[in-house]
Amino acid sequence: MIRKVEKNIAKNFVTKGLILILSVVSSIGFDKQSFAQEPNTQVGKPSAANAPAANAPSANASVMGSQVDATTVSYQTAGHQLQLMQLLQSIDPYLPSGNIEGKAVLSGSTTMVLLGQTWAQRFKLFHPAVEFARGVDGSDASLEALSQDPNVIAGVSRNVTDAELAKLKAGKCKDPMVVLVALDPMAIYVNENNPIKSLSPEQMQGVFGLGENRQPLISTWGQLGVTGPLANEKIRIHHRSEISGTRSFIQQSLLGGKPLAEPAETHKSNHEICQAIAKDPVGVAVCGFGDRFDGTRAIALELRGQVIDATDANFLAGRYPMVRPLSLVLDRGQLTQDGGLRASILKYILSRDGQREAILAGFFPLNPDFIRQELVQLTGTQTH
Amino acid sequence: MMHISKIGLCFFAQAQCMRSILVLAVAMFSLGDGQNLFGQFSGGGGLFDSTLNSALPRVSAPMNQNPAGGWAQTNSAQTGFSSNGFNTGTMTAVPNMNSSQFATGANTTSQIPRDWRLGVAVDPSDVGAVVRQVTPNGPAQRVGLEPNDIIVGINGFQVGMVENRLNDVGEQIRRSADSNGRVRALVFQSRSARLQNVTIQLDSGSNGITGSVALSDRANIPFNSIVTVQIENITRPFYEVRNGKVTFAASGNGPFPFEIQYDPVYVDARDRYQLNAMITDSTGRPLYGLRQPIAIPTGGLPQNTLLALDNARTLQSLGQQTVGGPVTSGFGQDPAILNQVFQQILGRLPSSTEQVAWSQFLAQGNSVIDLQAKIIGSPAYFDRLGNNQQRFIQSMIRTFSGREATANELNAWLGRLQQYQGNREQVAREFLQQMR
Repeated sequence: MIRKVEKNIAKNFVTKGLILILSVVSSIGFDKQSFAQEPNTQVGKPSAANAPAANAPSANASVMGSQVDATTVSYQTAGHQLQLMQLLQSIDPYLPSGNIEGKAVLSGSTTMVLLGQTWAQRFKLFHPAVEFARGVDGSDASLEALSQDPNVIAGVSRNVTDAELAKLKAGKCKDPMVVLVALDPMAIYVNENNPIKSLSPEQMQGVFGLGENRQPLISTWGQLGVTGPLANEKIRIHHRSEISGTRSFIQQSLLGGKPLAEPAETHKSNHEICQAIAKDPVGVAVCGFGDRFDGTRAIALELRGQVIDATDANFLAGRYPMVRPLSLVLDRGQLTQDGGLRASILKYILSRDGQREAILAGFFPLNPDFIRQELVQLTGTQTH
Repeated sequence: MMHISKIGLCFFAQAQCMRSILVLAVAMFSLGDGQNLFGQFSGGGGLFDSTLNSALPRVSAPMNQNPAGGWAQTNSAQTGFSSNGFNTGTMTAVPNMNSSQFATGANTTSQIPRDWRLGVAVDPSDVGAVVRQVTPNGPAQRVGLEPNDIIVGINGFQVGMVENRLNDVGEQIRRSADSNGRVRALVFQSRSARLQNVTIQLDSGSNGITGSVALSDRANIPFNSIVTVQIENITRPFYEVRNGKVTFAASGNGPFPFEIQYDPVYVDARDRYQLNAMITDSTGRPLYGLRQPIAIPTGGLPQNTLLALDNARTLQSLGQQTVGGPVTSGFGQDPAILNQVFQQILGRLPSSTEQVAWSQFLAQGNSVIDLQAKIIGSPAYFDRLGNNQQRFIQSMIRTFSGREATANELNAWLGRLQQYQGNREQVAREFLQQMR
């Protein structure tokens, strides 16, 4: 009996270990069950623990979202601000340890380089002897740089694919490690006069992806349930012209790697996209929460019958899951050889100040529990 | 018993192995085997496979709901990781053990959760928290805990890695400890190979400062005003003290009692500290401030200190709140300045999320120039200019000086941008300082 239990545990352990290792290699450790939870269960128990805004009915939430909150200093807004303050308070401040010195090379996407520079400046306040240098620009180029030089810290504002991790390992970054450092929630934007209320994941795939015949499955607004003058109009997709984090997000996360439908228009920046949507009554695009622009409207997500508005409050309550991860990729082997430099940098980024800087750069902080988990994995033994 | 202990031992072996696996698994830093780091739709299954689920922000900390409104003490949200239980600082007063006397004036809640220390270093594992070290004479050692023992649960809650999510021992202690700092723990003793329930008397992990906030003009503050009292590091203002701040809702004319239970680990003996306080309305507009923050002496902590706050108008007439000028702690920066700068540069108002973070940025003592430089240097602004450096310089000069850049200026500032390794914020700060 005992032997059997031991055996089972051993088996379980091996399987688990394998899956964990696989998730390292493949970066897509895919288990439907863990996603089978209803979106409303993600919020946690509806209890006094939620600030008022988190419990606000979606009607209120959409009011908050559509007229950017500062104008209507409403009760909900105050509750929502409290919610964020509370979130930041739940993240521990940075605790510097020891004399950290050395040089770090930060490289990465346009977005991540800037945030990285800010983090570097703040980090230097605590550790003036540390030097930072800027490496190459761009997610692709910086991953390439990391594969040639394990000293590099690469900032990536999109998913890192399993092929990329394999490539790093084949190069000089033997033990690549992806640390999630901030979040960029994405919204679907339409013209403000478009009556559509929400889109489901399947509908998004139908609009932005290609079907069997290399044509999008959904090409008119009527197919999305819009009635009236827009019903027979073709959907016009707006994208970034070059490979951008946003575009990779759509392809990888919304379409599971499948090809994108041909856009009607392309633009140089997310801002230009939103400006164009404001003028295009039949346009649609995916951009960040912060790209919202007069004349556009961010529509809700429909997840298994639940309509979830694209608002800060919903995102902060963990209800709105469409989000682009911002990560740092580095060589784990360096952690033990640099006198604590990299571990300290990561601890700073995952501290209250580091997460607040992410907000100042236009992004959102991570969940405090998740941060704690990342820190445990980073530092191992903990003292209580 | 035998049966259980055998499993326990086996678990322990597994815990050891799990550790090395964890080390490997860090490569993903992902959310364990069940979770996919990348939001992805399952093919046709109709599931929104969000994945970053556990990374999504979520206000999970218990919060003392104020029956009268949404505001409550945010100190309660403080949680988590702290590196050791030793007092490295010079603030060594005995914590005030009686917080009930602060059960307060109008509309405040003041159940202050304490930091408690168990006196162990642990490695989380699938079967519990494996003890690596025990602090001499600490609470854990007093109940006989030794290295290699496993803390399986605290007050009935499993600790360690539970379904691939960390259930932190420190966090569980703080949630479970009674007001006297006692918890019950289920412990696997490695030496006797036995599971045992033990009651542990924890040590306090915080130091206390108490006092009350009064209004020097004895007026009434409106319903849902926000009182903030905090410890500030004067030497290194960016170095925040964990749990060094309390915020609570209040109304009426006070005085409003407060208690701060800060984490002494964050206090550096080489730095100087002060106690500051302010009252804002529910939108963050300053109503009252402290004319002179109270220095925190190294010899002992202020207890029952009366902080007499002056009306914001009085302070303004004293020249303390000059916008853009040096601000001692930034307390009292009117959020209106934030709206102005956002409008000037981004042509919109800040979202409520941005408002919180930027207000805190100002509260750290940053000037309006810092604010302008940071906003014009932001990714959002750069995106507006098509992510083009030349357009950025032209637009920066137009925004701040109201005229077009000359060819020479353009080249010079592009050169600066190069020198600063593309850091637009630094270029903008330099430009603004030159304009002054």
